[in-house]
Amino acid sequence: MEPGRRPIMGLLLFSCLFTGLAPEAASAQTPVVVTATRMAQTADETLASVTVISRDQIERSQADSLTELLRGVTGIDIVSQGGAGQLSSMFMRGTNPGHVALLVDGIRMGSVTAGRVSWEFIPLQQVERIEIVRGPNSALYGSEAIGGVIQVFTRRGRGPLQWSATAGGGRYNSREATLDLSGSAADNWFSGRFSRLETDGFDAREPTVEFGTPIDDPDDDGHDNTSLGLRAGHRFPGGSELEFHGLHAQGNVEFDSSDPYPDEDDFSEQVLGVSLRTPLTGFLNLTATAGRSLDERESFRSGVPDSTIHFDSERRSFSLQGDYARTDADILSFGLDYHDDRVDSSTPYNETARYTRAVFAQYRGERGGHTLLARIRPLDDEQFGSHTTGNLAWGYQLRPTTRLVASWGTAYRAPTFNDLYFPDFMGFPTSNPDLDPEESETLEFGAEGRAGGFDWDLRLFRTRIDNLIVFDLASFLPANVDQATLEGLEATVSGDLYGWTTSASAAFLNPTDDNTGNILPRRAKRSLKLDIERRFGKAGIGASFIAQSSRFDDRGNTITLGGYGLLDLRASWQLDRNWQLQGRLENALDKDYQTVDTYNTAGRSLFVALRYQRTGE
Amino acid sequence: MLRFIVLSLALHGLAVGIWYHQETGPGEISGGTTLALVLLAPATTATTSSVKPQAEHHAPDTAPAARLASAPEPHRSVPVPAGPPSHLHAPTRRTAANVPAATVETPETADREPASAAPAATIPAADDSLARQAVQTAVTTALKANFRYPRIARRNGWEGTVMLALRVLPDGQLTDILVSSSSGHAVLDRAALHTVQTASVPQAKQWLGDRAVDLVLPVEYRLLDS
Repeated sequence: MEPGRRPIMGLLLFSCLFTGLAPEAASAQTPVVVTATRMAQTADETLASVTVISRDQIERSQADSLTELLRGVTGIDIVSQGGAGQLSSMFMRGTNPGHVALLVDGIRMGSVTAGRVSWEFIPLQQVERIEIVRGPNSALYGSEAIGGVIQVFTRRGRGPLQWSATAGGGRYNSREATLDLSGSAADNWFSGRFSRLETDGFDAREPTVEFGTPIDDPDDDGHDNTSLGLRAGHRFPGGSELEFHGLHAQGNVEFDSSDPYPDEDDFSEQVLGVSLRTPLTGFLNLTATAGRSLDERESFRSGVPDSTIHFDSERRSFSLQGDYARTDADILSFGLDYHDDRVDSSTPYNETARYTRAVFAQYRGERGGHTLLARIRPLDDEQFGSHTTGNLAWGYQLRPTTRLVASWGTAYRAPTFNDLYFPDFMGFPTSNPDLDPEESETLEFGAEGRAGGFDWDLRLFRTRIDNLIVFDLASFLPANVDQATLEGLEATVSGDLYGWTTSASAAFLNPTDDNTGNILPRRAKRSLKLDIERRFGKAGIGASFIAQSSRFDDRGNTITLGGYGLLDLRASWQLDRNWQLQGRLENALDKDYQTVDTYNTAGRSLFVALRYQRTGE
Repeated sequence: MLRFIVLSLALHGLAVGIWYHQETGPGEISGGTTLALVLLAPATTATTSSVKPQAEHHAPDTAPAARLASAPEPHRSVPVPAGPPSHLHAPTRRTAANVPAATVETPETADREPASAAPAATIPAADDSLARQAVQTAVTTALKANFRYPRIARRNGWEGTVMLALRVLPDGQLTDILVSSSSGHAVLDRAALHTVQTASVPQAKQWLGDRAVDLVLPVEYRLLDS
């Protein structure tokens, strides 16, 4: 039996039993359907600045990578060192690339040696939903959540069995295929997705000289990524839910460097998790999560045997969280978590493991038009000891359609294994095991509301980061010597305009290196994104435009990369019930620009895809 | 067959609900629940199965009497309750045949007053099932604006259908309310129970006479992706 019919069947059966009526009369019992929009799991979206991107929006955008999709989203600036699969760095609200935490289905990802997330290898094809939370969130998510948190969810099967297949291709000899199967029956759900993409790419880097060595490698730099995502769960009588999820992506990317350094990487990204949710009482719900993520990299020189070096990070975590909600007006959450980071590398690190354990508590309360959120998380780190972070936020419903928000929060970033434990070089130490964490403090004011059919949101923030770890020329070691101040204003408006779904967001950022007064490198001070789309019967068309001001490529502010405007166009055609044709023209104006000095970006490129979707009975 | 009619109506109603919700956008300012509530008309005959739903704003106080008054009842010749004259003569009067579903959107800040009662003729005691339907519709209509999606359930993605068993006393008081079938989530069960416990349905008096009626009220909680 189709699961969708069950409630109605149950209704019929039950009402017959209970009221003793004939089935005909019982059919009059139609349910009260209470609906609401899904709320962000990552943070309280009524107080934090949150953007949610659903699968539907991802599909309509036709973006083929996470970096392409997130580019230009409010508060996010992404720079890439070449095309698909090439090293990409994310600046959220102007913070450092290591100041954003990525979670996949609640499990932390990223390299603990380099202290960065491999955004370029997370396959967008596996992503069902993305939640972006701007602002400090270490008190919920621990290290790195200074600029914000990005949480990616894979698909959870729902409703009748359905499957889809997509195949497409385009410029730079790009090919892509995805197979998807999902569904639920009775108290079980399942989804699986397989995806493969390949591209010959283009020359990632123009000829240049780095540290006195010429780099001139004019061939195309290709990339491939094969991924498999699985998720399955079961609900027990009584309401407990047990769920398993796994995502594995692996592939290869070529890049440019000088001989004898590596010019190719084999990578693998993996996350496995299991979670159990159980209602202990009607008011107290308990969630236990255990997970493991891997970030593995093998680098080698093409055609040179025995040139392989590898850096593998493994992050294991366990967390227990209780949510106590007697009414909607008061929600108390509390719990503990344990993280264990490990390194396996061809480089013999001085230490290869460390743990962090923490407890946390959060209260959210509503009284009248006021909302209050308070959060605290003391932790104990094996390396740097104890550290406490917290948040305080207050919201006030000024009018039915206008809300004001003020918030304060602290966050931190633990030193990386490279900073702490990189082995000595020719007898000289290169790392510093006594480093403290980088610390931040953020103050934010916001206003949001709805007017004339448009939703609007305005945020003003100031973040000060202290103890930034840089290579200190005095001690010739990494040290906590830098400070930075980031001030910004973000504005977004969205709504329907003459039948078009439109959105606009603008950000003004002042990212300052407090030691020198210079602008922090690679951040654009002004960003604008416009998006517009509409359906005409079976056809859909859309366009997005991103404009960014110039940026400096170096800390000394001597190398300037010019600003640019990029136009992307997209269209789709529903051929029949099952078939859909999609097309996307990226960089339609063929703008020649760079986000990192000497690294090339894609020119005007056309991609076309055909999709078949079917819902089984 | 009837199952399919009900299913069809439910799906159409849901589609309308979702359509309506998207049409109006998630006006999410207040911590805030924008609720789109879908009330489906009773499916009493097969003629309703092939009808396309049309969404309209539906004032709560027009619902039960007007709809019931015009519901086709080919197998019966008993008198049916009539809605107030203003509704009967209103040009926008709906029938069960052309409007199986109606939607009401109630923002968090919405007025929580129960809908006002519509005067109507009493039903002969013999026509028990019809009266029951009328009471059921009155209860559903009166209560639908009171339901809120619990915050913690929205955050955790909890959905499901709660079956509430309840007794409507002759004065419209609701008693003996219990969860007869769980949604699978205690939070949703409790929210539904609490909502009904704090309500009464004086509008139902007109169809109750001096009897009490036992009902099952299904409450379906469903989340929409923005």
